[in-house]
Amino acid sequence: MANDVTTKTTPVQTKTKLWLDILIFAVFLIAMDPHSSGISIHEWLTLSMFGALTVHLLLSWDWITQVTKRFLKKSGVQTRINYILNWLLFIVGTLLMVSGIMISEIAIPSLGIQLPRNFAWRSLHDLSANLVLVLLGLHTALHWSWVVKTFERYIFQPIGRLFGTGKQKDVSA
Amino acid sequence: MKTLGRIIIILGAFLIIGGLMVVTVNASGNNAAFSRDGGRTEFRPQGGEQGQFQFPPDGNRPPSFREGGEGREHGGPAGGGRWMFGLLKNLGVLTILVVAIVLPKSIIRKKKKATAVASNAQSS
Repeated sequence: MANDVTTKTTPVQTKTKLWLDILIFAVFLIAMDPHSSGISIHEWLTLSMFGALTVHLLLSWDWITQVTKRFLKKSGVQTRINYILNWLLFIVGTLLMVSGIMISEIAIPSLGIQLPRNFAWRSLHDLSANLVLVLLGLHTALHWSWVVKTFERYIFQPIGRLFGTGKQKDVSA
Repeated sequence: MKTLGRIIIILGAFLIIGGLMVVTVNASGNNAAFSRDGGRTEFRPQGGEQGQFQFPPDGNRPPSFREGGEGREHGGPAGGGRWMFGLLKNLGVLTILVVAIVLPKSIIRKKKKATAVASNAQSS
């Protein structure tokens, strides 16, 4: 999450984060189309994603704490935009999950929990899903250089080495 | 222990925001509760876990949307076509957003670099 904030990240953490982000991205795309995946897969998959998102936040914890401390003092414009966008993503993501839980038809009832029905949750779920899609696009765009560097380092270079075409080039994260 | 504390903070933030949303929605006038058998808008075919809304006898059973049938909230092509369309649509939105931000940023960066190189060359 570079910009003007430097955080110590080990290669193992970076690699874990990359694969976790790929998983979250893939699950998000599947979850965005419940008509195709089926409501059962949609609900259980997205509920299980709460764990993956928590790990994603834990892996970015140093960046979050550093920017929180420095937000009003000496942060760059891009870092501030990034920070606000991440909070928005968290809030809208929470709304998406809460509204999903409130309109759940399989996962939550199967746990023996009956929630009161309210039509507003259905509209909020649709609205927040579209907002999360937009915010995720912005989030990806703001971290694009990290995505490119990490893909090159941990996916493209190893594949290149596997086929003997890699130049052993090292890209710093 | 540190990680556990962080997890509790994340869960706490989630619960606070989620709780506020539940309170807001419940307090708002938009409490048009819908009946389980009537005005529901879910995309799932009518068929509950508690047996309140059973399918009609076998012959009249409506096809489930999971089977690629008509039981969807929205129509559209069924099966693989529908899946591909949804996936591509969402991927398209994400791609447009990424390109719309990354491309101008890289152009500005390149221009800045070129200006810096030019000014350096002039001063030397």
